[in-house]
Amino acid sequence: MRSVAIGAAPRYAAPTMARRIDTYLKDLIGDEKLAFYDAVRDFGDAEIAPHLLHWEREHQLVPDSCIQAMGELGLFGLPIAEEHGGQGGDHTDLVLMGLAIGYHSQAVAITPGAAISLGAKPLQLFGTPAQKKAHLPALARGERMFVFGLSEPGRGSDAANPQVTAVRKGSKWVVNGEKCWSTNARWASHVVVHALTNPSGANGKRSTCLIVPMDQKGVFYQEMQGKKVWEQSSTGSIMFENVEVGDDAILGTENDGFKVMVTTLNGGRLFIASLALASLAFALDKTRVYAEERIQFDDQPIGRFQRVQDVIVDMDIALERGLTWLMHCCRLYEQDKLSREQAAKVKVDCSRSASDLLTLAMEVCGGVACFDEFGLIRHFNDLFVTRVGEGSNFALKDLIVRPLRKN
Amino acid sequence: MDIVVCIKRVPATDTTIKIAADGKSIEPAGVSFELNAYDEFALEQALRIKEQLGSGTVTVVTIGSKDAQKELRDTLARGADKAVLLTTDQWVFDGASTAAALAAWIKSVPCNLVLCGRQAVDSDNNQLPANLAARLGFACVTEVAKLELADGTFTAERDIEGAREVVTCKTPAVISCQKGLNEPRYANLKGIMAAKKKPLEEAAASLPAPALEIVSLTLPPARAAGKILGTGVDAVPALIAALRDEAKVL
Ligand SMILES: Cc1cc2nc3c(=O)[nH]c(=O)nc-3n(C[C@H](O)[C@H](O)[C@H](O)COP(=O)(O)OP(=O)(O)OC[C@H]3O[C@@H](n4cnc5c(N)ncnc54)[C@H](O)[C@@H]3O)c2cc1C
Repeated sequence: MRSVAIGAAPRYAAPTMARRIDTYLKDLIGDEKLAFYDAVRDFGDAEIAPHLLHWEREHQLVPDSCIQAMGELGLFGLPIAEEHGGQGGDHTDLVLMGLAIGYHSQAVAITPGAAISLGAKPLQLFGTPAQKKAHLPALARGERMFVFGLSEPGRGSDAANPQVTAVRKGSKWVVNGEKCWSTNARWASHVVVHALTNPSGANGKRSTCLIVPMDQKGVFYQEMQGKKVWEQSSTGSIMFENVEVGDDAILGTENDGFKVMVTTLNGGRLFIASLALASLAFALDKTRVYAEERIQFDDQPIGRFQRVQDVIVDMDIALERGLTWLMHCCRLYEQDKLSREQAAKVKVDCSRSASDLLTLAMEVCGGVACFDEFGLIRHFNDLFVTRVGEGSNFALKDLIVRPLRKN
Repeated sequence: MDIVVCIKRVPATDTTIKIAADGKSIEPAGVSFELNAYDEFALEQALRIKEQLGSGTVTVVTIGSKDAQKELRDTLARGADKAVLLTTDQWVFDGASTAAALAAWIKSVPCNLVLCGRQAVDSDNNQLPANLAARLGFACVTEVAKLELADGTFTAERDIEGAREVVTCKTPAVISCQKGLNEPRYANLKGIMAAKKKPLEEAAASLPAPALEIVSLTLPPARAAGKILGTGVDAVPALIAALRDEAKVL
């Protein structure tokens, strides 16, 4: 539900600066997409931004009421087809949601973001009609969530060879081992487990994806403690002890599970890029407003110093460049033409430029940037995840370099 | 029930207003506009009444330039069935001529209930609902903070000086909506996509000559800088003296 501000802002007060990101998006997307972005942005302003500090200081995950409100808004079903109860949107809509909500909090945005791009997506891409029918409507409403079970304590970048195993026993598969870094584990109904099924197969052909209910006997979840990034997002570790599932749990093809995972990550990386740009967009607005308000030396704002302007200008350039590039990648993705290198490149560049610039933005603002209520430190911390999540930038460069080395 | 919701596109409450060169109007350049906040309650109430009855129509109407299509599309995205733009290039500032043009159009369509915001936050005239009801010959309840419909009768609650008044009325009626009546919904993606296929009609507004003339428009004087008289209890006598002798509020 929408909280309507009446008389909240004094009419003749100093102008609140328009969001820089909005001016760029206007030229990059059509009216309908803009109307959607506006609606989600207004929702974020009214229903998320005012509560963030409280959630953070109480070390609270995204509250159920907020998840429910995002569900009512249709955020969990954005790119899910209408016949499956979704909103019938596309990947650009998902990315716009990341930009609109990530402006306040990456951690809140990743909740529907991962639920879609890592949870529902593999099902959309590889699910059988029966699997889709069984899960997509509840996923679209946000009543169910799938966890993307790729990473393990011993397998991060080297994800093709999981230590979690699934062994055939009669008509069943028996799963053992541990997944970690599982985003949304707290609310998850199922986890898509990437498990070793054929140790002697060729590299990339040794694993299978299995849809395992979180309430299945032998599945144990624990929230990973002490995480200081994406604080309102749930990150769990999930243990499997002789968990039995049938062949109908296989997502995609037997021994071709790695393909399910990497194909899914292509779209996910665009979402991570949107979170990085959302943080950059927030930092740009915060810094340029503060630079005009903060008076030092000769009763003049610090915004007059060219070294301060340099940082602001560089943020502005990075934002426009990143948004233009990201929207281009979304279009390619929708036409099924986005290569893995392209998705990796935009993720690498947006995350590293945004996080490098955040350090400088904080320096421009000075000591005040240390405070939670100023907002920059939250984005600074969260931007670290965009560098390592869904493929560490360093490891992704292995992928990006491939076409450069072929003759 | 066929419901008409009257909406207005107004300068956003956090935008900076500049007076135009003529000294009688505001300079629209650089101003961001939005749907009048009170009208959001009217739209939401209309949608809820339709949902409660399981039948009927919600038509949103406004008078203005083509720019108002944006606000109309937003109401369609939130669930209105149809939107109508009564076009004019004039700046319509006077409640009587707005009411005349709306009444003329409403008489031409099926309508048992008109919902509007209690006032538009730009001109703050607070005239339209009553004026419109008089022209239509409809019952009128203004500034409603709670509204229920049972067996064809509306029960409305209004906050009056120090008390709450409860009134009932039947259709046809004009009801103006106060903050707190409901919590307006957001448009979701499905609604936004559906809005594209819904009708947004245009017709020329039949506006009579304005009954009022704006003679001049000025911004409030800039607030003078504050004054620090001291700190702690010791400063209280000086504060009382200043409030009595300078500000003359005691
Ligand atoms: C908050 C958060 C949420 C996450 N959510 C999920 C989730 O929902 N599901 C999921 O499966 N995973 C998730 N992850 C895991 C994420 O995908 C991994 O962190 C990532 O793949 C890197 O793995 P690792 O952390 O084990 O690092 P490692 O693989 O141990 O790598 C450590 C570092 O070594 C270097 N390095 C590694 N390989 C190379 C290489 N080839 N070339 C050069 N340098 C290299 C890099 O600097 C790298 O950062 C999440 C992570 C975080 C932090």
